[in-house]
Amino acid sequence: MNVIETAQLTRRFGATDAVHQLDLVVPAGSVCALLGPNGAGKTTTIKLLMNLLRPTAGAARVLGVDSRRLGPHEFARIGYVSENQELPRWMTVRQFLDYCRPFYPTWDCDLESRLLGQLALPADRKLRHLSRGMAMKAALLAALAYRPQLVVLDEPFGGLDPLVREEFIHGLLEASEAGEWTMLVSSHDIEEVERLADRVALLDAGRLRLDESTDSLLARFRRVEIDLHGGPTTLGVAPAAWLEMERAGDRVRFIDSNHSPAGSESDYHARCPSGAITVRPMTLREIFIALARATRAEAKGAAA
Amino acid sequence: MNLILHIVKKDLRRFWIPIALFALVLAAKLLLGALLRWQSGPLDVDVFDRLTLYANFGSIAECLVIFVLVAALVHEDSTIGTRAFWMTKPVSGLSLLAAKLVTVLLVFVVLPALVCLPWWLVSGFGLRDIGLTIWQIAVISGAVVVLALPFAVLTGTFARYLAALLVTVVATSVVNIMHLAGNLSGPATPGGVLITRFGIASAVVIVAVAALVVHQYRTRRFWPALALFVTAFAVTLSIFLWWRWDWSSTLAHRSERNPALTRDIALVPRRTSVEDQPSSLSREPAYAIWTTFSATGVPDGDALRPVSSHQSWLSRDGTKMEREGMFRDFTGIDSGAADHLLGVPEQPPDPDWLEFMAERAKARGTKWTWHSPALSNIRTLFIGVVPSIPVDLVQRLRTEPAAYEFDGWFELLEPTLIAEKPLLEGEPLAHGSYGARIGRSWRDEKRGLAVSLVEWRPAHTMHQPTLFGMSRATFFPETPEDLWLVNRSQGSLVPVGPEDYRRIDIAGVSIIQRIAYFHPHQHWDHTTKKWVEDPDWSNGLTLAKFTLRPVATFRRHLQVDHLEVDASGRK
Repeated sequence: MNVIETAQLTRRFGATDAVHQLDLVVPAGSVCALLGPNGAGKTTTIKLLMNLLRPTAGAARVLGVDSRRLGPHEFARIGYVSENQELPRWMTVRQFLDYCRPFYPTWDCDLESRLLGQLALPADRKLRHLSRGMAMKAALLAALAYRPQLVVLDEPFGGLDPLVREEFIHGLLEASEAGEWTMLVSSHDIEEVERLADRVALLDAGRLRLDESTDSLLARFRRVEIDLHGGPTTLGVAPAAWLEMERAGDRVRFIDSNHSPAGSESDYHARCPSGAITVRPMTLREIFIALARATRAEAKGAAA
Repeated sequence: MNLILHIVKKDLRRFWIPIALFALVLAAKLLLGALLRWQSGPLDVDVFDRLTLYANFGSIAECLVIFVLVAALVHEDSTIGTRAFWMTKPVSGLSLLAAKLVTVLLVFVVLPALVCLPWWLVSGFGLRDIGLTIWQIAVISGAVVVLALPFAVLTGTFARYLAALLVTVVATSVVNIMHLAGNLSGPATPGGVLITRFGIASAVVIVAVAALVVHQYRTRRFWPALALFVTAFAVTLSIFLWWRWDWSSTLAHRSERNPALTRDIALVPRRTSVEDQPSSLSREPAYAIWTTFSATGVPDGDALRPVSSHQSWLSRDGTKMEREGMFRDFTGIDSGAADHLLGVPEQPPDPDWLEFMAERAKARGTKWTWHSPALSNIRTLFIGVVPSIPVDLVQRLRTEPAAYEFDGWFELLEPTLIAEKPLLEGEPLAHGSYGARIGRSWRDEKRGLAVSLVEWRPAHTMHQPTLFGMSRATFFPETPEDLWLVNRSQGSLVPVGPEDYRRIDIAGVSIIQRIAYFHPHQHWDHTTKKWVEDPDWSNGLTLAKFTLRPVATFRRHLQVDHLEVDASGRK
């Protein structure tokens, strides 16, 4: 079962398509990272999913309900944390939790106490006197304590220092052990997301570039370096899946975006029989950059 | 419901400081009221005026606090943008709206009621007075809230709220000035039309604000809400500036009450004249038709009060003129009730005075006639006025009697004598929540005996004369009252008039300070040919106080085929 499904979801601001015909699927129980550079449409997508914006075209379903009809019943099962969200900053952390509690019949006071300790939140301090990171942690606590079925985090790491970021992720990971939930995290902080996500959706200029599991993505991308040693090459026309291909002297480097342990390496050997081939796995960050560059190159080519 | 109250509690905690300030402003006004209410004697006019000014500042401060607090309350859980905390929480927009309205009710109605309750109790208010005063507070606060709400729900921040208010005020002023500039030479707008405009515009505003606020809390779609606001604003402004029809009688629709008490009351037309319209009423030369009626069959001791009228004239050439009105053009002159109640017989005019007036008129080359009531049972006179009639119609009406129709609503009032007290300082004339105390009395060189009075009564019982001068268009039930100076030994009565009348409304209590004048009784000295004051004219003077309770409402229709217009009307 899919917790989030979008079909041709589009949101236009004037002449600009912030989100363009997005078909995204987030299966139940998965942690999906919505990645993309600034202005890619991540926040707009989440706002569309949370019924904070109305789609110009297309539709989205969240927890089986049309996003435009999300109401109190659905929001009781959704935990939403965003860096853009206004918190009642005049409240102390405790007052904030006291305020949130009655909204949720499933509020778990034990979990609340546990998270309060884990996130090291000062209960009697006002939210306006907390640092940005601490305030985000308070928002996270209020979004997790009722064990929501879906957690939506919009740029939760923005502006957090490394220590707080680590605590935040640690809190998320610990909390995830306490509940069976689906999570959608938008971010451009890929390293952090990599530790959480088992699924990645990449947005660029409002368009979905890929949507697959992290494992499959990490397995599919390889950085390949071939040392020709002056030998003959029959590289010929490079496959479309080879990105950022460059040749410097006897060395050829590229990123294979469709790598398979069995098929790809025999293909490299067939093209460069005498070459020494080095294949290295890539991090999510490297994959993200490679894809972003490829997209820009495509766009430039189309413009030319 | 629990969630609504939960949000209410949150908002009350959030804004406890401004709410406390609001309560302090109310309390400060009460202190001022106590000062006026328990003053030992009447205050110096300047002091009273200064205190009135402070009280008015207090009222303005109350309105400002309401304006600011409504915006803060709405902006706390804004309906604009995508950042508000509540938007992704399990609470519907309508529940949130309900919570905000409950908070508004608590802060602007329940809180003032609680703060003012001791003040009302010591002022002698009964349950009915308290209920009506709370209703009055709710209506006044509600009016400010209704004006503030659309701006608050359409703006996400206080700066934008102020900017939107400013833009609206400027736009209204500009359109108004342009409209005035184009109509400087036109005739003044009749009062009934002004009342109609106000009534219809108010209805439009209330409906539009309700629709806008509900829409915004349900859907949070800004542009349709803004379109609704702009449309409603344009419609309201158009009604205020260009509405031309007088529906005031329809708006003040009433049904007959206790018809058995008024069955014998009939209207008789007495005199009709066409006269110059006083210059203060019109910007160009115009004429007015004055028609006087008498009412017969009024129960002994009771009084009549005109409420609204519809008059129409049909001249022989088919020209029809209609007039719908609630004030200025329909007034009553009442006499008899006080005489009856006090047992002081109505005095015939002094023959010396009649002679004197006739001689003076003769010396000036004019004619003067005393229009004495022809029948002893005539107790009430009414005057229907049709102002601003076209000049060319004047001559025709003077020479050719037109068909005339009158349709009017009246109230039958039952006077009750509350007290009659000698003119002693500090003498109370209290009656439940209607309190009064006689202050000083002194001899005024020009106006005879002056008696100062301090009165207090529930504000809901007062006329509301400030709104376009619509003394007839009261919004709240009222029990009029009368004060009369009585000299039984000479059989004379003088109503306490509106001269030197000062009034201040403090938290539902009207405090009035006025000075009543009683002219010395004089007789004509035939030897010296002068008016001479009676030496003991002020002996035994008393002050009598009545209330006039409306006991019946009725309608009368009058049709005259050829109404003669008195050609001797002043020109």
